[in-house]
Amino acid sequence: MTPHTPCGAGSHLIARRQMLGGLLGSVTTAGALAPIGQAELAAELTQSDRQMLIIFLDGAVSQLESWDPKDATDTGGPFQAISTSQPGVSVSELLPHTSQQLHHLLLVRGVNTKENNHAKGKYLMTKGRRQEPSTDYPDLGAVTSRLLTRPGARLPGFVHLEDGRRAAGKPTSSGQDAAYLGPRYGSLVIGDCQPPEHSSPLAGQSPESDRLRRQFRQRLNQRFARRGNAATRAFAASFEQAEQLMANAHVFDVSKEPAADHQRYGTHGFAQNCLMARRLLEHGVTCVKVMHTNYDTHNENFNHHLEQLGEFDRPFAALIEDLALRGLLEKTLVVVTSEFGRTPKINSKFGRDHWSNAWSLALAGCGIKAPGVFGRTNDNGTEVVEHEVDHRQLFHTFLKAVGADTRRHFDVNGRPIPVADPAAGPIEEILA
Amino acid sequence: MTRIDARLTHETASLEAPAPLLCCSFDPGGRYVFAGAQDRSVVRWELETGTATRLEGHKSWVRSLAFVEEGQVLITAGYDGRLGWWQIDEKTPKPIRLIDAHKGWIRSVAVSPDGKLVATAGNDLIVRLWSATDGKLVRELHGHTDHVYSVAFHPGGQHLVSADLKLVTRDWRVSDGKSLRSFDSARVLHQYDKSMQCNLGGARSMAFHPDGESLLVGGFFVVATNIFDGGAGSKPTAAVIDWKTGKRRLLHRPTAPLPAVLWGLCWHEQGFWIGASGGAIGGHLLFWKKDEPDDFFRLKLKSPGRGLSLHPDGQRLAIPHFDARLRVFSMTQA
Repeated sequence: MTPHTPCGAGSHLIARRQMLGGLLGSVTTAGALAPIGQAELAAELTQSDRQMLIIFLDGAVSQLESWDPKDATDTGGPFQAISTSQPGVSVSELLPHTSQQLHHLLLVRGVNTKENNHAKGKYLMTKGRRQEPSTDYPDLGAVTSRLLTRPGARLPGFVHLEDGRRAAGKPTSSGQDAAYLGPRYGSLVIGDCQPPEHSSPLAGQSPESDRLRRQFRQRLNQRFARRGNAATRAFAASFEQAEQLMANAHVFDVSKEPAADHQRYGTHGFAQNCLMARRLLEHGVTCVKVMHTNYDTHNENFNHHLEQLGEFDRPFAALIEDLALRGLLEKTLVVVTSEFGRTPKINSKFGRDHWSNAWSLALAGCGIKAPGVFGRTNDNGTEVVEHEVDHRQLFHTFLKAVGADTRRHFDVNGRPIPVADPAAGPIEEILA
Repeated sequence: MTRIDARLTHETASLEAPAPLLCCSFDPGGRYVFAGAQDRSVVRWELETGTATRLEGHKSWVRSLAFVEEGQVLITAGYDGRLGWWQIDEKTPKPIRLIDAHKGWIRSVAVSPDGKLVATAGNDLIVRLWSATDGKLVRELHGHTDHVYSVAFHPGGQHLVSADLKLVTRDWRVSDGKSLRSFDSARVLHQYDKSMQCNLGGARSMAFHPDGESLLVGGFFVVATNIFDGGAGSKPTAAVIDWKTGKRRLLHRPTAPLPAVLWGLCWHEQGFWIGASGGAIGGHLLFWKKDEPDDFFRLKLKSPGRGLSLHPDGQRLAIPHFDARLRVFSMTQA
């Protein structure tokens, strides 16, 4: 059964201090960055207020127990397919609430990423390229933040939400995910729905003394700026970001959402993070990533998908419904993905192993043709037989759906690095 | 008289199935053995000839079997939430009735000692009692807060026991469905894995000693942290619970590290318990003497076992296997 861990039971995690540490730790790279034409970008962004929500089902959700059921086949397992609000399209019976929101979703059923290693698969799906020894690439959220967050935004452009796993000592992100874009665009990691740590003034510190402290620091910064460089500018910017964060700490307080919504979403960690995601998107955060873990079910795949998708289904459906009702879906791309899928073959432990050759993900919202189904696997799900796509095409597609031009380059120390893998392009058939 | 000895156990038949098997049971008359398969069928083999017949009607896996009407009718409990009645002797049995009994999986079915009642339990957290003869609902028993994995009647017939994912075990009075007590003395077979954020547990098998003084609840004991991922950190284990006090008397475990789940349990009248396991590195038949924690004999199986049935002759055992084979073993001299 689903454990209902009350949100708030964990530790405060992140943030101002963590963010500062991150900024300082990688300031050399960030300082060397010559950004993609800032003025040009700002002009583009006045035309776009698009956002992105990434829901990452960590450990690799089974496509057969979710988006691509193979009812009554040798690989189908014990769950049945159920009809949905999208005529003619079925999903697993483990998604009864989501099935009623399928008229908002586009299912991509022909994903083949050819990578069965968790870390490498996650890299592909979050960064859109294979790992290279010479270059670390930024996370989709960081790229989105870089390309879509308006200059002077009062909130971080990329927020990463996770629950209990961090408290258990196995966090899903360190926040160091912006690579050459610089830590300004990296994720602010929020654990267990707690406001960012140290985002309230120190006990005993009066507003006046805080003001004087900041004033003094700014004066020193101005003096130093005359012979400063990108590193010192990044250092100063980190304080500005932290101040903004402190001034807007209430945005991260999910308890301010109506009690009825808490009831509707649920009280466990993932449910609360879905509600937090809605809140953050409403307040204008450019990209929110919600983690749900763990789907790595080599052992007892069916019992554990009952439990994990039992947690996922209701709050996810509520979130999609709310984003639609509030008009947010018109400007927000929702991506539900994993690092890969799971084997059609059921192993001796009632488990499913790693399978990247034919798996599925779900999209909703702006820039894509939803509802619908794109791609098809064969009868028992072992291979893609129509419209095969990979991580590179998907990365292009996600960004293009929110209005970004993926043919452009980031200028990193004079070295042009394409926004997305230039060897591939977006999946035009599913772009609106 | 034929000498029965656990140490003599050897395979006598290997019957081919259309798909990996999930559970099995000899009929009380001893003519057939039935097994649920991953192709959603139930397979009947006639033991003398080995002839196989598929019983079709469920829309998902059948994970538990029982017999009523003096052994003439098979009860099948499916993950489609349906309960089926089948005449066992028909050439190609068709369901006498298939009823929607639970929302979601039925994980376990048991028949009362007098043969009049059928008990079922599953993922809707409810235990239900049915009339064995006409399939009418007799009563519902509410109280579990997690998926219910096993049900068993006390040999005296007055009590029904159910055990769930977290090994919470409930004692129900059959006559009126009243919850008499709940005990967690088998809870050692459950663990919440904080890293993977999931529950590991479930009463995978359950049986009373015929004298009614002890209840065995089988599952797995977590001995390492990678059970979820690799399944290698568990031991097939049965908790022996004193029926009077509800306290755990001991744990039956294999002395060797055998990562697996205890899927089947039965008592042999010659004074020992038999368990069947299946898991990461195969399966075993395990034999324990009453009130002795360690196994006194074990037999490695060719493929993970997923259940266990003792033939009415007391000499033969049937094991449903992952490799789509139903194997029959004899505990007598070859």
